[in-house]
Amino acid sequence: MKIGVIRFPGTNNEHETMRALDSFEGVQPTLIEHYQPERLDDVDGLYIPGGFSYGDVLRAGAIAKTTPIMKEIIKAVSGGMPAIGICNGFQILTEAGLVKGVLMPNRSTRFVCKFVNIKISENETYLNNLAGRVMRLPIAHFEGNLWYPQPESLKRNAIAQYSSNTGEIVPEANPNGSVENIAGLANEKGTAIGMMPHPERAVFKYQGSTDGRAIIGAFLEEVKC
Amino acid sequence: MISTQPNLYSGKVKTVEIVDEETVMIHFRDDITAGDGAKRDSLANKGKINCEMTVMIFNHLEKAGIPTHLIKKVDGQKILAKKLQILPVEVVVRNIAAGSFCRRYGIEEGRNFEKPLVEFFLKDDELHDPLISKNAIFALGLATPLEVSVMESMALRVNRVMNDLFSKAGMLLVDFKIEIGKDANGDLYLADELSPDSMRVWEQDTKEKLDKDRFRKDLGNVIESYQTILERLQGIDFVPEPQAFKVKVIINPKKDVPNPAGEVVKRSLVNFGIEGLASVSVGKTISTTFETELAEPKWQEKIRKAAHEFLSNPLIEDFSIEVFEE
Repeated sequence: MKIGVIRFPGTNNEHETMRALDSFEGVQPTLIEHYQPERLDDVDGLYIPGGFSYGDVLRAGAIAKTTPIMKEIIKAVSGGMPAIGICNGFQILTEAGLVKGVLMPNRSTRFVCKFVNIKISENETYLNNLAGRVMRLPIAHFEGNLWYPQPESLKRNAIAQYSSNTGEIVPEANPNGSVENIAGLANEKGTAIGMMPHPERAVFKYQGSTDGRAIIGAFLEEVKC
Repeated sequence: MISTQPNLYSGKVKTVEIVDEETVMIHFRDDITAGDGAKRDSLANKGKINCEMTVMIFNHLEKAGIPTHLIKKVDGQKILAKKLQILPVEVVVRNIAAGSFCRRYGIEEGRNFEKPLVEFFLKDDELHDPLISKNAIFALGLATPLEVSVMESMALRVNRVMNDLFSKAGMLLVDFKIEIGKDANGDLYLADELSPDSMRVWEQDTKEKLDKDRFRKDLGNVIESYQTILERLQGIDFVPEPQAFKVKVIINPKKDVPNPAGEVVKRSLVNFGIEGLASVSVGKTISTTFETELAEPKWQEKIRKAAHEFLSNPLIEDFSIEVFEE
């Protein structure tokens, strides 16, 4: 199974993403440069890793959405290809309109880099088997403050919320000001997911947590189907 | 304008004939009037001279990248032009104080302005074309803020090209009036005419008046002077400078959306002794420069789309578009 890892200028999480994907049986990660839209035809799923695409000029993810490869990504995702966007990848998905909302600068206006707990929400996506699980994953972002004019309506697309280590959705657990503590969102079909926490940085023991394996595993299961 | 035939509109010195949905024929007559038609005469050749000068100057302006209504000259005193909706506001650019400006503010004729002055006048003969403020233009719904910014910029760009042209021909461009019209897309074009009827021109050295003031003030040799201006402008080798066209998109956070950057700046402004702040909001401005306005037809539509879909995020930001001059 081939997973395309998309690299824009300024993407910097692609190597740990490739390494993480490589650790799963039967998975062949392949790096797709932003100028290789035609290579999307050769892959079964898409992983849009984090970083600072195009230097976060204008708004995080805003420039990436104007590139030709984005048109192809939108086409592929609309056609049902499973996709996951992490951190800047999530920002790109929101800017491109593949998932709802917008990721504004953190409420604190500080870059936040730490482990957080998230609780997987009840959802109708490929993560539905994980619902209720509390996970420890790292975040590292300046623009992770999810905002939407009707936050209540966003809840049904939520795939995870920032929580305490026992799974309580409390304001103290919210690292960036996101509405409803939402840490990740899916599109309406449930085939594309964006999230701020980094599952690919919680795959090996030496990373301090291996909770991310379950998320990547569920994504790969979806691709296999 | 008084309608004599269904498709013929006769103004004080020009007649406009509607040719089809997109074009009009403009006939420059030999009539000359002053004081809202209180004083009138007919001078042989005047229509031809004004037509020729308008065509020459409009061609220069097109080369400088300023869109005009001129399609082509048809014969001695007729042009074929784009059919436009003429905005009911005239734009006047003044380089040197003269005419109504001096009467209004009680100053001597001949004062040089440091920067060209742009004024707007309501086109209304009965009211004698009164000066109108930008706020009144908006309040009366005569033009939008974007249109007014285009009008002002266009007037200044026309002024730069014409100043260059007249000074090379040894004359001073004191002031002039332009009219602007818009097409079905909302794009603005310089319309009407540019002739000694619509501008003040002085001899560079002697400051002798060469324009319609000769008629207004009974200085004699009106048509001879018109002819001289035209010949001197035709006699120089003139290559107009392309006039840069600048559009900025101003993006501001929506009122009901949290603006973390604004909140932090607000807290820090206390360090400058500013404490009475209710709120601070931080937005951004994207300034663009086109080589000329003509370089990007339908720029309004394209910039608006880019501003809506890319430069701003409509979920959290509002934008406005403005044309500006440095």
